[in-house]
Amino acid sequence: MKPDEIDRALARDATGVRASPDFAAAVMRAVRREARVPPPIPFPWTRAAPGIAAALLILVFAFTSLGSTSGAGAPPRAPAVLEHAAEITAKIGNSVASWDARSASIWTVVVALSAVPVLAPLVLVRSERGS
Amino acid sequence: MTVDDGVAAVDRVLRGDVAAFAQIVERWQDPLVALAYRFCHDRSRAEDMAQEAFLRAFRALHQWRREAAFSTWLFAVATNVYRAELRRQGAPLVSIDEIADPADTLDVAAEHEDSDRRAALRRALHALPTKYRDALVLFYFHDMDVERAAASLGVPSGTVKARLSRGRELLRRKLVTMLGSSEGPLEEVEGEA
Repeated sequence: MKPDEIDRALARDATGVRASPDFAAAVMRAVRREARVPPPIPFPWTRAAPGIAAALLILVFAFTSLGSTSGAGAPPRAPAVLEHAAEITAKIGNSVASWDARSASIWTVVVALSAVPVLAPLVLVRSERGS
Repeated sequence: MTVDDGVAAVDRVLRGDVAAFAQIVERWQDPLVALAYRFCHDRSRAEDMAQEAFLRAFRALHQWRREAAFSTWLFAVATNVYRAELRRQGAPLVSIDEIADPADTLDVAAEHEDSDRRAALRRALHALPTKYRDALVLFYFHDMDVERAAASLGVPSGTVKARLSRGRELLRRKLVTMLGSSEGPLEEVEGEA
């Protein structure tokens, strides 16, 4: 097969192929189905950014203060942090074990307040879309 | 439909007139199905692939930057869909039954005489590494226009030229193997690059 034959054959390949008569209708049916599906709600990064930044700052502050309470002659930083984490875990365990109505309500409020900066933008976006 | 009409249809779709997309489908259905057929050599699969390309274009219509012609953008979208589809489902098996070229106006005897060679050519083409196969498919689909092939592939035209040159050489070698010594030595390919 000579190069010009290859050229001709490849150039001619599929030149007579056309869409079937009902192709456009099938595509439009699929397009209309697609158009009916509401687009996914994008995560509102702009609105959530302050909340996420605040949460990160609190986290960094918590770890920093845990490290600084270990004192001058303290062992290396990572073990100290782990030690404090263990203490906190133990305290949480103790408090869970001795939960009364007051501590349970405090924990609920703390968890709810922590979720506000992240969930609020999502709720706002949904309500805007709904209205 | 003129180029302006195409833009007008896109604008209408972007304003929420879904029915206006029918104009785009009517205008581009044959080229997109033909391009899909070049990739898969199966009519029904080609229509499925073309439909997916139109759907993808519909979803991404707002991403058309209007720096290039709408057709350039549409072919690039379709090319990506077709290449992904072939990667997902594998290269087509081009059988001896797949020899009839829909464009043929030759008589039946001549067609049969030529059939083995065309089948071998298609098999050789689909046996190429994808980057060379895609360059060859798009180059011939776009009437041997390197710039348009490059735009569809989203690579510089120099890259397409290099792939065409290498792809043709590989194709030539594969054809020698497939068609055997009865074809005689092939002439040197005069590369486009």
